[in-house]
Amino acid sequence: MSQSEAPPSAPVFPSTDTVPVTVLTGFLGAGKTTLLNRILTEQHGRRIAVIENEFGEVGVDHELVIGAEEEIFEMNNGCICCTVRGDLIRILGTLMKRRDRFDAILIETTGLADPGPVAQTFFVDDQMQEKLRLDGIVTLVDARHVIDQLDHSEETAQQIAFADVILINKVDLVEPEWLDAIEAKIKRMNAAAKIHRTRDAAIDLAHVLDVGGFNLERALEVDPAFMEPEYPFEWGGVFDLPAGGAVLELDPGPDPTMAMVIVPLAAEIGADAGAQLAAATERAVLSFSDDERTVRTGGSLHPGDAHWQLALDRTPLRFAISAPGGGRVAVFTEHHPDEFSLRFTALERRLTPLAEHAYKPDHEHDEEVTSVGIEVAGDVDGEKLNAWLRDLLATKGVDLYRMKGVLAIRGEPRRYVFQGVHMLLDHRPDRPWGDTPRANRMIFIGRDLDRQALTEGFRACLV
Amino acid sequence: MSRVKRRLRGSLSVQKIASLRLDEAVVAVQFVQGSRLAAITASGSVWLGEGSVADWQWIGAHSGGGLALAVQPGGALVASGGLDGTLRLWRAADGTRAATVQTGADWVERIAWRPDGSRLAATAGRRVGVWSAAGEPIGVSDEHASTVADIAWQPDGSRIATAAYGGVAYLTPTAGGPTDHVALKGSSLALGWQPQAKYLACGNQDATVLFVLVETGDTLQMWGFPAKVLALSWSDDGRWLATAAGSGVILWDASGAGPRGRTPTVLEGHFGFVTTVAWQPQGRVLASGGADGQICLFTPTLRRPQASQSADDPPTIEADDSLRLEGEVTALAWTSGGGLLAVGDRSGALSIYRVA
Repeated sequence: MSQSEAPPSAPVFPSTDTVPVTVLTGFLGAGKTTLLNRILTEQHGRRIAVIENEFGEVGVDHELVIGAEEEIFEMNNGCICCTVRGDLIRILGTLMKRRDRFDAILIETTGLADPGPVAQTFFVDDQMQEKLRLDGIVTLVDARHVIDQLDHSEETAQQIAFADVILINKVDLVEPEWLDAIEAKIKRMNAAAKIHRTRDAAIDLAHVLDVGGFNLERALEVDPAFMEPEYPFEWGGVFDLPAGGAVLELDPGPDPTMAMVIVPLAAEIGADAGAQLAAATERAVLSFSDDERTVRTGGSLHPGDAHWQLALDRTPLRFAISAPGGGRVAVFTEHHPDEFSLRFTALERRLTPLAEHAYKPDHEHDEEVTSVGIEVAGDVDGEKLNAWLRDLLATKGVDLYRMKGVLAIRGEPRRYVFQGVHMLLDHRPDRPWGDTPRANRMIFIGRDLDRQALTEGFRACLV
Repeated sequence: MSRVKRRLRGSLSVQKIASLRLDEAVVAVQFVQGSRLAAITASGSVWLGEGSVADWQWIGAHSGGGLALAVQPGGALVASGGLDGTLRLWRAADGTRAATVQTGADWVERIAWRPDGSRLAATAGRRVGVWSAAGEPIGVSDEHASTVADIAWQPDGSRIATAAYGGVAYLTPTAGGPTDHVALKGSSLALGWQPQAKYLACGNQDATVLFVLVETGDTLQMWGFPAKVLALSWSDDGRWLATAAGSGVILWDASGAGPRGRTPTVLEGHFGFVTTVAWQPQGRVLASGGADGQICLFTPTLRRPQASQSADDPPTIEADDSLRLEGEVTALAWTSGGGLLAVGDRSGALSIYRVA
């Protein structure tokens, strides 16, 4: 096979009025067809075309329903994870030739469909891009079965991860506490999606249509701040150690080891222990990423930056906290002290913390699909960021389902917005920062994401 | 009937001789005999007629929408296909129905008559079927990897080339599955046999064109197109292959040693997606239609390309003439003698031009 280059030609002028496309995903029985029928009934004045990939238990009564069979095409464009839906290119291409424009297009996917190729179709095919715009991916889950489905099917996790809007449907069939648990789990997987609880898929259609999920302007709305940061420890407490130090005692617990950091604090008179604890948190996170120093029972620990690993294999468990001159310290523990009846004593007296805080741990989740939010003030270096993103997409693109965010790039007076699916990124400058403090906000949704590596990788791009 | 004479460069004379509007966007149009035309629209309606509106006859419809139309060589029958999964045969003389074939699929998008008119092939979802001119089944292929995007008979009528995901395959009209497969990573969209059958060209979704050297099976893949290659057309002398990708019409010279290593020529004139290209039979005019609502007419064989500014900058030729339509151009057809050009657009307008 030989290769020869065809020349470039004049750019295709993008059409200003594109037709919005909404993709409905969800397992069979989650309520896709019910929602579809609601949309068609309530939007009866609009010209809507429906592409159905699955004939569900409820028929769709509508003049323009086209049946489709999932045809996944790998693209030979150097993008290793790039697949598109050939059936959609063909059907939408035909629909776009009709005389009257459609007001909207709805695509109902099968319960087992991966939304990735559907979304990528609208980025990769020039003709689709010219005439259509992917407005949003709406995922319905059946409140009764979603947890079980998440355990057994990759597709459910993908459908949640890709969604802009998630409807937890059939809420009338489960207990409210169960719903809270479902919602919390879904939120951990996809922190960017809007979650609604519905019965019979009844929802204000303004939450489902024209949501602008792939709209760069709306990337500005990304707010990773609602995601409380996660820590490598569950608990922290501030103690005043008397001269001579203290003794740490604990009982065996659910884990054979316990990691710990003891940050020395300045014992200023009147210093707020709570504020000191908060201030020490960052230092503790750094220490927790260092190599561990294993200590067996009878051994000794001392305040500093060491990342101690207490071996809990022999009882009784007793460790010395060596602090000859005494002083204030912040102790951070991998597990909550209650799980191991952990206690500090000095001079025969049990020490009580001056301040304590339970942290949201990062090791408790069993979800493989998660969201990582990053929010950092300041400017990033455009070149470093490009190199980092290029490397990230090349190595993790397959696992990165959605990403979006706003960046402050050095030397650029405007906000820089981006959003993407797998390895495909859309980006452009947006409105000027003006008096608003320059900051970067991003969210990544994907499989097996390394929060620390992402955060550190991004921080390394800061100016 | 309007008689607007347009002259852009003086090399062509283009005259509109008829114009009418059908019920929906024109999906395909083809001349039957003389100036008589057959057309199918997006609503599924099949039309026959010529000249003014009064001469046009609605002869039937495919429910759900129309996708394909092909006139039998010789002009006695018109075959149509649509979203109802049927292949229909109509008598061109009076518009009566000759046969209706249920293909078993719901997507009949391409129909191709064997050059001798004895048989026709049509896509039926992932399969390709072959029928006699009376509509009797002769053979059906195995399933392709995807819905078949295009089919084309080898000019000697010995076999059919098919385009689908995974490349080009050859079928013999009576046998079952593909007999020979030219693997291609990606999806093939449009096929064209060089009339001399030295090459088979194929336009692809991944913005490439594949030339298959028919005798040896060797392939040449041409990269660098601005977008997927939606349409292609060979000149009757077999020298030129016109390809449509993005807003460009790109012309390859297959004479002598072939296109390998040659810089193609860019034909300029469109500013929107080029949807269709068609060489004038036995002629030197190439017509192209675009989503910009333009028909461009080129005579690249008569005109010298403009010299390149640099090695990266390909030689270009500007359109000799351009015609503006109401809507996006969706269908183009020449008469077999090449004197008339029919143009259908998305608004349903159908216009006929005399080109000299």
